[in-house]
Amino acid sequence: MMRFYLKLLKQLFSLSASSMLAYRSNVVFFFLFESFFLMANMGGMFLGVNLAGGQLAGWTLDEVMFISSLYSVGHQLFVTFCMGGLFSTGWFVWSGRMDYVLLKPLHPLLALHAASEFVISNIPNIIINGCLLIVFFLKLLANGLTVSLQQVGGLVLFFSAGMAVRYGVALLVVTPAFFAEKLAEGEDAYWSLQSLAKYPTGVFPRAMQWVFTFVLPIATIAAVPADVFFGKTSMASGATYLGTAVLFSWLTVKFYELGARRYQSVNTGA
Amino acid sequence: MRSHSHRDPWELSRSSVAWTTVVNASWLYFTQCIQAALLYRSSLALFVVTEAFAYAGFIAFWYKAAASNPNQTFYTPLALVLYFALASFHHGIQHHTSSRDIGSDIRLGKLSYAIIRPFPYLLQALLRSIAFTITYGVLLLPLLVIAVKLVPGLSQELAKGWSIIPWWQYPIAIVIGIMASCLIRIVIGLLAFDMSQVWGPDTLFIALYYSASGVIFPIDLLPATLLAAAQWTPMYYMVGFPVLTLMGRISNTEFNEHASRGLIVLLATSAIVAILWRRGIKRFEAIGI
Repeated sequence: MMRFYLKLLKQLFSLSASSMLAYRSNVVFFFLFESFFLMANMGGMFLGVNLAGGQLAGWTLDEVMFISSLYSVGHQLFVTFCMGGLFSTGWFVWSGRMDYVLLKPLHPLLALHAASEFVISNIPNIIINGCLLIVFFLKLLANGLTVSLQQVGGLVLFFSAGMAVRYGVALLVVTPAFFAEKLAEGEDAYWSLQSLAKYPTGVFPRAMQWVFTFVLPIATIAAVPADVFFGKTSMASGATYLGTAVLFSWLTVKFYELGARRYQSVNTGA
Repeated sequence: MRSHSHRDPWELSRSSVAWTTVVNASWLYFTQCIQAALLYRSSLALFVVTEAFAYAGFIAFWYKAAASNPNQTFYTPLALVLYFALASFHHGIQHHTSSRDIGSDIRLGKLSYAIIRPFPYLLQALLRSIAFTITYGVLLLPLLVIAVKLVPGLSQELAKGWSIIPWWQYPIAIVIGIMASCLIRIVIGLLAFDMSQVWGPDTLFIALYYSASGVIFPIDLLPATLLAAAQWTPMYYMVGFPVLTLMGRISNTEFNEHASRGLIVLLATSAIVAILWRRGIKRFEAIGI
């Protein structure tokens, strides 16, 4: 079974690469787009923390930038490996193309990704954002930060949970397409919601902090992994965040499965 | 296919079409665009809810930033809340996808039947964008009003700005903004005459828009040289200019300067539209891919 999935993944990579690289200009545009987007985001954070006098909600400028670049790495991974499939849902349901996605002998989500492409052209941006993360990490080390192996492990674990939450948020906003005549706004809705994940949780009022931790756990995307990494959170709180993230992701997958079962193959795309 | 004017991208000089036909057809097309947008209420609802959610968090960040530093006087926390409430409204009403629509009309060959209609193609694109702006304006304005009424002190902050500026400044600023948004998106769409897809330039535009419009940070927080550079792009006029005008953060002299610069930017963008259309329509062979 595992060999079957590996073969599927290999084929998906190979097809995505040949298809994406046919439009070589995409690599350039993706690079330019993400570079400007990164500058705008980082610039905005810098201006905000600067306005606050160099420290915001107990976080220094470098720490805020570390959260922001951690968020950006997750963003680029999502764009490269998840975006193509998930954001086709609205169009596939509306045009009736979901028929052949659901006919594949795979889970509906796997079938959806197999019927779409990885955004191979975005790989340079993963590397750039990864380098930026390392730069801020080194800057923090130079300023006296000490990290244990346990903290690094915590960062990796919580970052992975954050990726699952990202995926869950996307599922949450694209799945209503199964219940509407036409709903193509899922992608915009996702970008709006996930953009909140780049801030330290402490900047939000208490009610919003609670919502972002336990209802729509976008705090797990970047702020909580950074909390764990800097040792600002206890293991008990960490376990609660992790449990919430896993539960949220599982529920959103179930929601998508419910939508896929609801699909009646009668839309025309007209 | 009938011959197509190469000189006038808006084809308003074409003598074969009566002005009344253009006006009637434009009105009909415009109302149909609004009806089509309102047909998909679930899409609109999702857009409004998630945008409102995102902006609430976004505003919280900036509020905290301004409130954390009692020594700074450039922006009070309330002024920042107002800035982003207004910025989200201006962003929402100009969030249309006309560049992608025009690009796909050209690449899929749909332009061939769009240009045999009895009114100019680019006017159709322009009306589609304006219809979007009005539809979303009608939807988002009540949210803006509720926000201004509910947040203590916000209506006074808005009134303070409004009392400083002459009443005609904001209408000028918003018209320049809407036209800048429409024209730059038409430019991007028309690149499809020369490219296999306009998806790349369109996403690049979005990134530049985020950098220079003032939608994700108050644009006047930028260093002077960067702000001056942004004012030579259409993006500044889409959000930053109307919002700063409404808040009374631009003096009368500065307003005249910015508005003149905006008009030059509009003229330059229109010239690019004309060049791209003239060049493209000559090469267009109505073969879609």
